[in-house]
Amino acid sequence: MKDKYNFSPYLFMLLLYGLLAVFSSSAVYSFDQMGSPYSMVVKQLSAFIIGGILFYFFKALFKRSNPQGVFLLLAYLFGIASIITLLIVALRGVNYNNAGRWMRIGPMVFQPSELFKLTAIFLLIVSFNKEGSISLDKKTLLPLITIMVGLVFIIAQPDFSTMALIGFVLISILLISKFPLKKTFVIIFIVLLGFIVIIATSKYRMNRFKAHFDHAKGLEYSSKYQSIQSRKAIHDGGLFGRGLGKSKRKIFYLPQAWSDYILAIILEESGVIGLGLLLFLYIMILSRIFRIAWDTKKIKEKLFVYGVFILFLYEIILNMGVVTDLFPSTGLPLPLVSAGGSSALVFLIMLGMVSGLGERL
Amino acid sequence: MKKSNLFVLLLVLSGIFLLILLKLFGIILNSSQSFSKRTLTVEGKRGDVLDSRGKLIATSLLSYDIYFYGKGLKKDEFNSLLSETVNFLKENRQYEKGMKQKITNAYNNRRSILLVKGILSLELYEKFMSELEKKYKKIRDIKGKFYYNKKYTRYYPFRDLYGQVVGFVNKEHHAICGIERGENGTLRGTAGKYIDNHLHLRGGTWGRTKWLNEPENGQDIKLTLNTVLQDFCYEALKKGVEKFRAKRGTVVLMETSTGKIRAWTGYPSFNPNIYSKYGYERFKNMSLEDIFEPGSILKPIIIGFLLSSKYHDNSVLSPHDVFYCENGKYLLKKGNKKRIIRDVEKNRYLNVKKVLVHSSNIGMAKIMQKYYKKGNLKDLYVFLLGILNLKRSIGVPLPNYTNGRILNYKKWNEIFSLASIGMGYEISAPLINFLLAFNTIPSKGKLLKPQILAGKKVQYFNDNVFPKKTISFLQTALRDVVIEGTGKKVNSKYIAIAGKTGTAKKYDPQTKKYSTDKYLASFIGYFPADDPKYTMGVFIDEPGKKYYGGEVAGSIFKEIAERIYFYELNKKLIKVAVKDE
Repeated sequence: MKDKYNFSPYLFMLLLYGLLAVFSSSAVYSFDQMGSPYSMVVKQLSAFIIGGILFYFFKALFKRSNPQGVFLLLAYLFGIASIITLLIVALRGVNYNNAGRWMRIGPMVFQPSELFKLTAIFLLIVSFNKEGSISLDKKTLLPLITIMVGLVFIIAQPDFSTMALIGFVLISILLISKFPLKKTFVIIFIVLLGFIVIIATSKYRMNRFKAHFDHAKGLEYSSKYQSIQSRKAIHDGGLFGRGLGKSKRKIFYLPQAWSDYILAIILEESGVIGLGLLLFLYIMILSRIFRIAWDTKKIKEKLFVYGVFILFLYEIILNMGVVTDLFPSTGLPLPLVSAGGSSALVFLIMLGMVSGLGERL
Repeated sequence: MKKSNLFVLLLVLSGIFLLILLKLFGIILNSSQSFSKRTLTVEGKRGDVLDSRGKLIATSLLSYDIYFYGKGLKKDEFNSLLSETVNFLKENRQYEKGMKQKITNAYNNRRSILLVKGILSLELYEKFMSELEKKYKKIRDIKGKFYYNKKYTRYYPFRDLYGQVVGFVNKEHHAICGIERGENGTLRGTAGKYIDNHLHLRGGTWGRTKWLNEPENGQDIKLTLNTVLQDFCYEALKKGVEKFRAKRGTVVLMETSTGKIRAWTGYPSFNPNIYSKYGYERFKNMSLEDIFEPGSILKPIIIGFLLSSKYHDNSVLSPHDVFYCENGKYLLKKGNKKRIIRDVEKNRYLNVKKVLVHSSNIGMAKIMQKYYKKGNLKDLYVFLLGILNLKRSIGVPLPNYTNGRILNYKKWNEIFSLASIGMGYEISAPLINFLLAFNTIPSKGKLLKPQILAGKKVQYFNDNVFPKKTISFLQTALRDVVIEGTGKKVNSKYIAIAGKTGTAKKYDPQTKKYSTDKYLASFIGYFPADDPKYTMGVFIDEPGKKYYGGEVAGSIFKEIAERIYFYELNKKLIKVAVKDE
């Protein structure tokens, strides 16, 4: 593998970084709730190990076999798996954090919507023809309908932010493909209209939305509480941070500090320096993915790698925007750093595939 | 593949990312988070409470707490300073166990710690500091490591002597009861306000304070109470309450002609310096915050009203009227209702004066029956409202004054209600109101406003309650009460006392009946009888041993009156002696 395509060392460092961050932000809570400071980080580590195995499996798969055929196969496999798991969650979801997004598989808690992020990209990729455009016919109808059904399931969970994220990713792929621009804008218009209706009709989302813009109301709804604590943590961290493990906000001030708001704790403990290191790792990985996409010749592979790139980038930006209180509070994790097995697994699988495609170049 | 779209997308994303970074640095550098602005208040020194001769009843003592703040000291510097400090504390007996560890912890956590609480000789502290300075000349900032906090502590030198009347201020500077509460506005002064601006940055804190208005000290208050007389009353009351195993008792001593209260005491009292040891019930002023049915002490006032030509003509009651007192047992009947009225002494025929002297309930019942036939009930109702201040405050600056109660005359039951009122029931008021009403007799018809703050003019509610003729009749009757009537035990060899006994059954709200074993024993009187100087009420709540007012309250009254007589006699003699020289 050529060095300019290889992001594995940075990925490894990012995983270590993530483990450290999860350990630091969850140790007190884990010790308090589960008796051991390591319980959360051990879960995360096991997800990384399984993810690592899958990473190399998909890397090998994409390196050796014909990606076009694999895309179709995986689109069907992931499509069926996603729809079934989403259906199960919809029927009897484990109610966690007031959102029925989780299902239990043995000792693990799995989040089907995370898998659907990858599935949706696959389903869209297989719908493209050789020119890199989409024409509605018998072949493309099934994948597109599956995407719609999956999105409906996710919005029903309710998980608006994941649905929106997937929507943005798919539209972005359409934008850079050869799909007619006029049609893309029509789709964007329809989707935006749909978003507005969904936000306006749900009291919970409306409150969060209002809370973002109205400080006083935000306190009332208490959804602003997290962002206030997050701002305080970031401010206290300053340039150099309090020092690793010395965060004060993680000790029961900032709820669930190890998941969506983990960046606030990172900033509090290691300051801008720590953030710089994280961004360096992200940029190295992203730039190499972009390079792979740029150099890939076949249109479907190319769009797939761009899709992964865009998904990765969007999640980072959205999460950072929420932590810095620029965007309304959502439920999106920081890729590969926030605690969360499903998200880590799916990202490792995706990166494994991209890495495999890179090997072919 | 549209590359231009891809670049536009990337450009938009980088824009958002830039915004995020800007926001991030905005939060980090946000001055509102590192700049603290607080408005703080500082109480002024609370005014003192003085007795009529300028003795301190309540005062605010200034005391200093000394703190240690070891930030910036090196470890070895700190250690030697620590041992010096501990020695200093031990020498001055201010050292508590474990303090050394606490100081070390505070140093490690960069916090300040309280070293000495309260008053300490400033000379000793100065000595300590100068010795430290000699040793640590090289350490320039050693002076800044110790600092002071100033505070006031309220102190009551007479402890439980003034108890409920003066009340107390708690540790949070809130006035809870008594004069402290009632005159809080004068005593407290105005609190000062200042703004505390501080900028916290890495490496230090910069700040300044700015006064909006400086605190103003409260004003002193001088009371009419006299500590010597207060002490007489308190001692006698304490002895009496303990002797008769009563629940509690109160004594109010008032100047007859001015309404100035010279002593006002309750027992059991409390020590305001350690107020937290007592229950809230203990802080109640029995003669002001509770209402009682007075019993026989009301009789002279009712008789006075019936005799007065001011309210009606002589046909209602004349001093010469004689009533048959049924040998001590009288059945009152109206329709189905029956009530037996008993007298303690069995009498046959009594004139009006003798009814008072022997406190005959039957006599009173018959007098009231006669009034019902001849007089107008509304007159009596209005008279009682006025003289007992039932619908108005008496104007004493004390909190929790409770208004008295009486049934509207339209709802009176002609036979039973009138008999009850005649005997001092079915009407209730704070005990001090009965003293004020009674005082109209020695003060020649003046219903005075009670005074507890010194230096105020004499004020009346009404300066002509009874005509002269009635007053002289009542005065001789009240003197006779002590000489030959129910108050025989009050009769003193040294000083002429006049007054009225009262033994009221207490109403039990649970059984809705008058209790058979709970009484209010009282004696209200004035002395000297021929030229009244003091009017005094002694009220004993639920005495356990004996319960007749003449015996229980009367003996206390007598003791106080005699002690005051001798005290004032001595003063006169001394004055005469000084003049002679």
